[in-house]
Amino acid sequence: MALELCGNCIRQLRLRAVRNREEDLSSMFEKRRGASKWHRLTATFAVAGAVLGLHGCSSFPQLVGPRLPAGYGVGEVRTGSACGLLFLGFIPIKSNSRTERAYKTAVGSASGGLADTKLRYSWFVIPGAGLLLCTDVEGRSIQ
Amino acid sequence: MTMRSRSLLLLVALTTTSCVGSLTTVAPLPPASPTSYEEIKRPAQGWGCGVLLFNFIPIGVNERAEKAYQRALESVAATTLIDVRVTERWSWIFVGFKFCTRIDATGLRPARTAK
Repeated sequence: MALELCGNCIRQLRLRAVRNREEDLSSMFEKRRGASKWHRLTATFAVAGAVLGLHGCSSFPQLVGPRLPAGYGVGEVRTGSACGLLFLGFIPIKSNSRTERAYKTAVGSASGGLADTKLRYSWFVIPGAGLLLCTDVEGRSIQ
Repeated sequence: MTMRSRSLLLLVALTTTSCVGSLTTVAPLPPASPTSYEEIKRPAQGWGCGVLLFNFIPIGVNERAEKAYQRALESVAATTLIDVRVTERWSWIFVGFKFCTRIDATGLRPARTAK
């Protein structure tokens, strides 16, 4: 009788151990599944970020030194500047059109464009916001 | 000045760095007598790039327009450029940003006198 009881006890203990192991394994698999989901998501973002970042952004070509007409004259010195922000380092806010805007500001009301055009670049780190990129254009108005 | 305030000052200095380049001529005045110069048929093109290492150490970032202009001149062995177009490009390169300036133009060189 005692031996039978002991045998049952051992059987129950073994069953409990097997159940515990199964539970442990299933929780581990669930954790792994969650982790792999997280890893997949992170990897997707990393790849997308790398592709976007490495691809970068490009502005449209801006004519800064037009062909001058015969018998042209140059007028006063004009300057213009424009800035754009690389928000959080990768979201361009007006940063690709800054040369175009600076040139347009410099040209102003002069219809002929600029001659003897000079460019100057500057950049400023804004903590928590990103990188402020600026372009200055200086030239003499064409008459 | 305590160590803490020094570190804070250094941190502020590092995170608020800025840099201003110098004015670079990218479209000079064309020669006074256009007949003494000839246009080069091949388009002139030059790239100038710089890296903003760790977002605050500029390596050739401010001089890229000058580099692009010189390379455009050299690409067609021209002495000056007309019809100058500027294109900007930036990309993220893990250790910072890469900024490039491209210059497309028509090159001019002194006309060869016919013998």
